[in-house]
Amino acid sequence: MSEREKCGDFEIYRDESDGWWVVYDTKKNKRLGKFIDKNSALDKVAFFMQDEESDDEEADYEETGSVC
Amino acid sequence: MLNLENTNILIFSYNGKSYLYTPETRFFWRISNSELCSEKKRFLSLKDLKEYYSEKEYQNILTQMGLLKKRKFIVETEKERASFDKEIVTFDHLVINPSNECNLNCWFCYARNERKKENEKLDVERAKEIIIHFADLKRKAKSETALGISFFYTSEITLNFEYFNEMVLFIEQIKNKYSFPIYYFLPSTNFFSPKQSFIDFVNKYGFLTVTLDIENEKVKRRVIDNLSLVKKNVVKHLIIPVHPNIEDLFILYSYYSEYFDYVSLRLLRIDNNHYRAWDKRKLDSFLERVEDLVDHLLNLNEGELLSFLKKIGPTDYISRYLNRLLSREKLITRCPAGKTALSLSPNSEIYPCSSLIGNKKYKLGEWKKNLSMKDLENDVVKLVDLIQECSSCPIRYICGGPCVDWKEKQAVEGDVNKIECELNIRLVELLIYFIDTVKERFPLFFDKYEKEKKVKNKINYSLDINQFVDFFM
Ligand code: SF4
Repeated sequence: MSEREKCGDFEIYRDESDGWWVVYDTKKNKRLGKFIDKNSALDKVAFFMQDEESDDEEADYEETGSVC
Repeated sequence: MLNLENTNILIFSYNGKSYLYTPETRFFWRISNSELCSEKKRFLSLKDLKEYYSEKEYQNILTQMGLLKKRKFIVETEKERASFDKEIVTFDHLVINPSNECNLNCWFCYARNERKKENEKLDVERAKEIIIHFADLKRKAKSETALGISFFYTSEITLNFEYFNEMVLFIEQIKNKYSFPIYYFLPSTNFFSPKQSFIDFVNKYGFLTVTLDIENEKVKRRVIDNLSLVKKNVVKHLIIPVHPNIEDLFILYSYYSEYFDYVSLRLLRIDNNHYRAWDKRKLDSFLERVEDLVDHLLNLNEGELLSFLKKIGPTDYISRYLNRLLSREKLITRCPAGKTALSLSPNSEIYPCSSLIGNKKYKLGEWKKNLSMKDLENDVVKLVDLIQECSSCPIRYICGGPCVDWKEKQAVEGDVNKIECELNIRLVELLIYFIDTVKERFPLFFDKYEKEKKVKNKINYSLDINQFVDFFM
């Protein structure tokens, strides 16, 4: 395994057994994918970082009154 | 090809640090240049940086920006903006204001002028008819999103609590007839003289929001005393209306956090002719108070800071910007007024927002039995991209555009209210500095904040631009 390169919650490293690049989310302890080259792995990290989908849980209090 | 040098961007320095913020993706990074950092500055394009860097350094910056563009961290402002649709496709929030009555006369109340007029009251049966009508319109539009119904934004609920109770019972009866959920909300109260029936309700409901005039000692003391009437497990949220001359913000939050679980500051939109109205000088002095608050917070240890922020409420003006920056949320309009939210006055006139009630310019119509969604089409709140001045503003997706009510109060002629713009942009700058400084001191702080406040932390990357770019090289 090559040395891990880290950017915030994400890491990439080369799996020496097959030469593919792994993208890993350190916060979720989850492997996000394996890519044939480093560039594609980095694109994937950029994609995950830019993801606008939010999986926010609802706040545990309700907003009452005007919110503006 | 993106013209990097002219790309819409925000570069600023504050307190010895400089930052670059990209409007479209809402990423930001710290950039280092001692000269640039030495004083407060703000630039809106890369080429303005030229004088602060040697030719070689400047080219290096352009190379970094080119890489960020390649990985889509910087994207060109979309040429084709979404076309504006005046049609209300569906709405999620209905505010019914059955009366304008109140037992206090707070100087900041948005309904103060309306209260002087004839005291009309919306008949209970008519209110029920209106609820059914709007729920039916939503069903007809095949909407599946929830419908929230609020009452008494322009009056004091405790004076008409029986009315509210009747509405609650009514909503409970009808809600199963619709495929979408229907909720009611208990509005904010001044909590000056709550009756036992109100207290009993709150104890069951589990949540209480109070709006308090903190400068009225008599009211303040009585409201704090009244809190003992409410059970301990009720979540208590205080909204403090704030004018620009407010003093120490840290003390303000801390003092009221002793009595309430959450404290939100609401910046007041004050009539231009009022002696407390916002102007450039008062804005600067208010922003100094926010800077003092940030300074104070940056001197706390990690646990103290987290406990402090934990107690800031959901409608707090300053922390909403913090949360938007952290979650990199994209706002395309300022608020839902007139689009997915509507307000009714006691004489059943329809407005986009309760604060605009009485201003005929914004009246969308009157409720009638055959009212359709088409009758309510309006463009009171516009898409931020379609507002001329906002479309090139670097913080447009974090601000969402001007508050129509504030513009009216400030008697602004043009597209935007410059006071509000300067306030918002300075808050964004200050909070970017805050996030970066906190992250440097306590690297895992915002992960803890995410857990406590349920605010997604998407600033989970290195804020040092050199490190960030190196990773993606
Ligand atoms: S209202 Fe002002 S700060 Fe907000 S997006 Fe428009 S120009 Fe920018």
